Amino acid sequence: MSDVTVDLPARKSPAAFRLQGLVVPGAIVLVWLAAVDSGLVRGPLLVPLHDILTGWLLDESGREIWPALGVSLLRLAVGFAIGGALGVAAGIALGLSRPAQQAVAPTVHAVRQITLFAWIPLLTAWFGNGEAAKIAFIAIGVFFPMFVNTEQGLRTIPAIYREVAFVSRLPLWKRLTKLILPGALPAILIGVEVALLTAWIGTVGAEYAIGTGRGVGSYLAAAREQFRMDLVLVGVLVLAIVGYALSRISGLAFRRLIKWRAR
Amino acid sequence: MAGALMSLAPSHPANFALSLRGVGKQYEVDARPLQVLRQITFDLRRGEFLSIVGASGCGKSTLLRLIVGLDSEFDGDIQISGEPVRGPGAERSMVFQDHRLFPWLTVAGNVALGLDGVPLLAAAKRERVAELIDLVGLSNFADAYPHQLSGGMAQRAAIARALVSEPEILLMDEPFGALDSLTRVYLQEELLRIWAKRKVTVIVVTHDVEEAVFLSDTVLVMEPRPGRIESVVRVDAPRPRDRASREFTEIKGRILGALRR
Amino acid sequence: MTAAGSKIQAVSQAIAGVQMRAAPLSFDSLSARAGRLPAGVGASVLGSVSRWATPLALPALLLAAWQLVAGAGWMPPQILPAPSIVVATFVDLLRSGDIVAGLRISLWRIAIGFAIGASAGLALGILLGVSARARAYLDPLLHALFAIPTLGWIPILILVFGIEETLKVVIIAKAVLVPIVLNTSLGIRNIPPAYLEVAETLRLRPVTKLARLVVPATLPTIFTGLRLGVSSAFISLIVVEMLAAAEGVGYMMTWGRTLFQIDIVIVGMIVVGLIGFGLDAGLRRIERAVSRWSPTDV
Repeated sequence: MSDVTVDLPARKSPAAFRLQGLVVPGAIVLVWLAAVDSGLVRGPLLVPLHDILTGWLLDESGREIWPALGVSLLRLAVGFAIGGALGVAAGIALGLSRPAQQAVAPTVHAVRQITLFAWIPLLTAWFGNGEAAKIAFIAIGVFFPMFVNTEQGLRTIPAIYREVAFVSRLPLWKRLTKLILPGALPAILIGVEVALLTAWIGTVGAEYAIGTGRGVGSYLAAAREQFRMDLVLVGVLVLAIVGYALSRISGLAFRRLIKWRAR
Repeated sequence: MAGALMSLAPSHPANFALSLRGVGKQYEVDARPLQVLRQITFDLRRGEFLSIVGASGCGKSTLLRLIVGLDSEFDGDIQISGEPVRGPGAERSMVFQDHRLFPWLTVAGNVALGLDGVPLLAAAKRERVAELIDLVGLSNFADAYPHQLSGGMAQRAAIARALVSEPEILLMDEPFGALDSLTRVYLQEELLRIWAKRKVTVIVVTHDVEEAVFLSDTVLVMEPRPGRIESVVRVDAPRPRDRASREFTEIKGRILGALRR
Repeated sequence: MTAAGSKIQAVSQAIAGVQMRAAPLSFDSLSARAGRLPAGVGASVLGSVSRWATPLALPALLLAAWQLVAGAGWMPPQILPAPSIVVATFVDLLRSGDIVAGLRISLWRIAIGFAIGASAGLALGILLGVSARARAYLDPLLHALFAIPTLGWIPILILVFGIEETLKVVIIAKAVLVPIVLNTSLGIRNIPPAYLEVAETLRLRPVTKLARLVVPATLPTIFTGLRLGVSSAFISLIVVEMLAAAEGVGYMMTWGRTLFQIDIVIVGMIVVGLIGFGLDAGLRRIERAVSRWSPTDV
């Protein structure tokens, strides 16, 4: 192939690029429609495309995804608020005081090594299978990235901010809001981007693992238990789409806020 | 065939190391053609030292890339000793403004790359590499890595890499542009020493007119939009060139004047 | 502008106008001045002791408090077993071979999953890196598939593969594949064009180009992909073991939870934390060694 080279990039028209990208997915869709939707090939897992695309609208169990999504997002918001507030607070507190940082940060980083999902058994033992365990799980998932990024943000505040903060004998509160936070803001926002995605996966994960109550995760668990591949796919699509939307939104917000700051 | 060769006209491309006839190049920018080079025609004799000077945008670097073969789309003819150019070739080597030594290889390793396609025994290659490293004055640094070298030393290594394959034509694109003026003067003198020793044909693209007059037998003055030859200036001053002499200053002034037009 | 705001502006202008003073100001130097130690050898010994003692102060305090609370019976052992019990359980599980057996299964799954995911990832990544056409055809599809987190693949693949070993290996392989494909493709596309031009003018043979340019130039980025792959493998291993397994380190915690033996759960968490840390730290060290030259510094 003439294009197989570890070579200098060639120019290509963007329109052709987009068309080529649709060829493979398009072919898969066509094959699927021809084989499965038509009834030619059957199987418990071979779900007609039609069902997947309309399940969330027409199917009685399928429609459950909407209230489930709402509940999940609500949980996400609560868990994010708690974990985020604690993470930023801890990051600022340790970022301001070197002795405190030396004493506390290593412990936090050590606990951070325990991968998030490993907390589920402990949390369900402490809080049972209810909301508290799920919210706590999400909050832990949000806490660590927010803490790490805030702490780092404080460490790398541009020198001019720090010098002004020191020399101007403003009260701590003013110093915090006018100088320190704006200086650390980019890093904190990056923490938000990361934490948001972790929080969403954590939300659905907790719901899936704990199983009780409503939510996208419970929806997935139920669908799987009933061997309804069509509903599983609906749930997974929602999981992926919301995750993607959250990254895009936080990315855009990040760029907007940074642009505003640079003025 | 031999008989035909012997009766060639003096201006036939086969008589020259490098021959350009009506070379042109255009790009498409926003769906409109942009002519970067137009009707470049000149000949270069074997062993000659040519400099190409011109303001930014006059296409001198583009011209060099066409000659070395990095770009094969152009109008007109480029011939090396009568053979049309078809991509890069063993008889042409290039030195870039940034030395482009591979950071994970030593100086010796980098220079050895120049002999990659050459059919020599390993021992012979090692000897040649050592010879070139010695020629550019880096014998004590053969096993050093690029990050351990100064800018001037790295550029010398790049020159060694380009010359190790014994090319007929050495092309250099603003080779000393990134260096401080003291190093530049030193390397200009080194380059002349190497040129005299290896008797290779050299083309240097530079924006430094004094450098061009110091180094070359001929200076090609180019002007932009579209890139074309404004004039050809022969530097008849005897070598070694005296930068302070009246002759030198006069030629330099002539070229600067041509550039300003 | 507020009073504080204008004061800040005035002060920052004053600082910008004044020439540099001796020591750079920072929160660090403030604290140092506050807690000044006496000069001399004694101070340096004290200094180095306090440097590694300080991080241990908090954990020691927490452990003591934990032991107190649990020992006094304020918390039932089903909720918070005392540290002494946790340690005893740890030793028991080690001696009985449970931890070792669990580790063996888990590491085996990671190994197989990583082997499959990494080879597929490298192959696909190389293809995407060198061929613009492959990128054009495959990028959108892969983008969409990679957007589905590993968690999302679990219910799908359980329906396809059941909950046998295949499931775990496939999940781990998928988790490994994504960062490796992305980093390999990126590494190849980021080979500085300047070096590729040198390779062209020197007319390097394909083998030489591969061995002396492509591999060294892409190695740092590819290795980062491998490190992220290992990290993803471990995380997805725990997830899948907790949700759909009967053996392994992840399962150990679920098992402890079912029996309401929180000491086993905590032991499991500590083991998970240690392995995760060890893997990541070890690979980061190798990554630093491999990245000694950055191809971006042309």
